[in-house]
Amino acid sequence: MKRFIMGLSIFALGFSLLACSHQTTDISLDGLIEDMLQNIEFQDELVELDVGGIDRLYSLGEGVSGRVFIGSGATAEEIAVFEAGSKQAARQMREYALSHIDEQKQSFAGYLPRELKKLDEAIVLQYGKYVIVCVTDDADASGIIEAHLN
Amino acid sequence: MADRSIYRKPFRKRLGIKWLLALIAVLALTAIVMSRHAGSQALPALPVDDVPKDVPQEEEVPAQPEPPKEPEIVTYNYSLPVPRSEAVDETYFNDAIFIGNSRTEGFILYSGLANATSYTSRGLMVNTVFTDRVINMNGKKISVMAAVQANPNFSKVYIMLGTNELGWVYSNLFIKKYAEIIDALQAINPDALIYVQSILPVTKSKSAKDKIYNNPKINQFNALLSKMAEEKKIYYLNVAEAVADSKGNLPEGSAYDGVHLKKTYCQKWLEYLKCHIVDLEAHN
Repeated sequence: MKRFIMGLSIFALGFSLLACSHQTTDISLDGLIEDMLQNIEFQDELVELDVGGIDRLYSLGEGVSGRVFIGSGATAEEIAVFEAGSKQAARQMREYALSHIDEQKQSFAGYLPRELKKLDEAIVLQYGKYVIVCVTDDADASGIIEAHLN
Repeated sequence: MADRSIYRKPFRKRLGIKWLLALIAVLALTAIVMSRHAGSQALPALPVDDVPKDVPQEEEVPAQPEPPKEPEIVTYNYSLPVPRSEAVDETYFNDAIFIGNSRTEGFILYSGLANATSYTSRGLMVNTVFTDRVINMNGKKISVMAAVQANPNFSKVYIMLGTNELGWVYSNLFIKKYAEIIDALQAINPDALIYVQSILPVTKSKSAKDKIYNNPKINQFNALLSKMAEEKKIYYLNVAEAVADSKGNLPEGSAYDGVHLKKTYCQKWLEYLKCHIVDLEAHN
């Protein structure tokens, strides 16, 4: 009997841990963006792109929507937030985002090498069906973003 | 003695015939002269009151419309920038391509001109247009000129290059390479309108402290571009006047680093392009 109860407890614990690891809450993208724009330090003025502009920079997968803010071209600073239809689609979107950061590195390497540090330390993270990108040299940026994810 | 009557009768007869012929000739001549004068004399107008009222008036023949005048063909003066024209809407740029560096990149992203094709790259220069693989096409990286060649169905090209070449020692080399771009574009699509855009100015503060990116240097390069456009018979767009202040500088605050335009100034740039269009039908 004791073994049965112990086994059941272990099973229940394992199951709850498994459930917790897959649990992500929906986040308010507009709230996140507003917080990032207001509280993360950027040297450049970030302006939101329209759909055509986003398409030029990122390959949006099917069912993926997003908002992107970029600087004037004088810096590599950027905010991009995407929502995919599924975690798998978000994983693919994260790959696209990493590819975009690589292209930016190549572009700025011979043009404005001082921007490479920001690109090397770029935040590109997936949270469930969301992908968040932030290019800045503000060390507080990741904390501001993570506050929305917990 | 001869019979006189025999001699008189023939003589009189002859005389009579002569008189008759002379009279006929005079009458004929008179008739000819009178017929020639008949058409040249206007008939006297009938007084209105004399026109009988019950006689139907002739219908007035409507005046024939004048044939449409052929549009006046004016020879285009390539030594001058494209003059102001009637504004077009953004669909005009549906079949346009834009070639340029980071400033054009910003222009395409900020102006909202989503329908135009752009081949831009930060740091692009007149020589790297042919060599650097910076354009992503079908998953492959190719040069700007290769991308243009792959999609030759454009009717206008807007080029803005030169900011990154301001540090070149030989400005004539810049023009030589720029001319090679024009030649290549014309070989790809001989019918396309080619617009060479002037290099945009920088802010006064940037110009004052930078030995390379300054407005005197930019003005020098623009003068060379204008001359090249004249020689090659292509169109020079003085876009600098869309964004410059009265002293020819980019206004402070219009560009984060004094060079790269903010959104509102990219939109001014677009508005300028919309109302500086070459009408090929109006000139040869």
